[in-house]
Amino acid sequence: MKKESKEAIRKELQELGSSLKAGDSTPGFRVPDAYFDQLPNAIQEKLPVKTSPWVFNLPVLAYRRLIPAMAVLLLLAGITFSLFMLRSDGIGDQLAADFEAADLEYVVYQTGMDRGLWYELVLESELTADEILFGLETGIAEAENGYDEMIEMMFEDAHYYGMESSVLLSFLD
Amino acid sequence: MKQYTDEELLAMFSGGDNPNYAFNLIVRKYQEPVYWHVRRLVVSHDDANDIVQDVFVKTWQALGKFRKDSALFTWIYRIATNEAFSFLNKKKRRFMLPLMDVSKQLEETLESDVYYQGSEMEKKIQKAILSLPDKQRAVFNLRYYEEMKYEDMSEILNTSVGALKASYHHAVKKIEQFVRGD
Repeated sequence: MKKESKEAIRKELQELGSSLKAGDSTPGFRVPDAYFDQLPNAIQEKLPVKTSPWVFNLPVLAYRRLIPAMAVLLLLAGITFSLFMLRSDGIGDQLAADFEAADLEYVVYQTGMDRGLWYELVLESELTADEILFGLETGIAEAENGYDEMIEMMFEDAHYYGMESSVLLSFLD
Repeated sequence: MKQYTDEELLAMFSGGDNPNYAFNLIVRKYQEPVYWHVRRLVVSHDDANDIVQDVFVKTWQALGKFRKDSALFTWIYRIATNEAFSFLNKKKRRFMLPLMDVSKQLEETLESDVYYQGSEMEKKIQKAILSLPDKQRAVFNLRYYEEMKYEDMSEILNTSVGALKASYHHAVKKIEQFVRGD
């Protein structure tokens, strides 16, 4: 990270007729002792374990491992089923109630986004689907109602999930 | 300890045998600037600590997909800024707070945080900064305290250089007025 020179910052403040003087970058803020020595470990402990891609390997499924393997498969099937139910009964119902199904399909189709990502956007932003749909329909003209902030957040989320803002913008247009 | 360049760290992360080690080096390189950036926005040490940990977990999860069309530090700062804004927005929604009340609440946090020991003048300037809207606060902090170039800020905040300059100039004027007590 290449910083601006202190001189440039000072000159800019001077040109603005300001009496502010750039100084301490952490004015008055403190941290507990040895905080930055411990933070990397605290972060490492929170990292999800990266798993290597699963490769189908018949010998692995030896008889003695068959039962645990089946248990895992059943568990996965259960989770998939629960997620399906959650989607249709929980989030799905909530969204369906807020969005007309056709609206959702239209939004998903227009933005080229994955439906799952839309659910994530809705949940992540803690906005109702109505708010998002309204925001998308009205664009950022409703600044005084805070929808600009919402759209901004959506763009940020979209960026975070690796989607292009231009995709969302083209929909807003 | 050797200071690796971002390119070296990314190469170690994606091509090496030990991505955890490479990531640890990235954390050690950026933890302090990221922490202070977040801390100035959310004020409380405990909140900043939680957010910074989340920022690096998200960085870890997404680093494999990092497209390298921006610098690593601007990318991490962007995640950090989004996380901090998201935290503040949740706070506003949770308590149905209008802008003025949010800054009041942040002021109270400043007064009560055991890890804040600013002088009266520093406290006055912090309170002035807290009266600004979130994004303008971020612009002011990045420029004034971190001496960041507008071009880098532009990538972090996804805003044009011209708009950032205007925002910084407005912020300076408002802080000046606040401190003078106008």
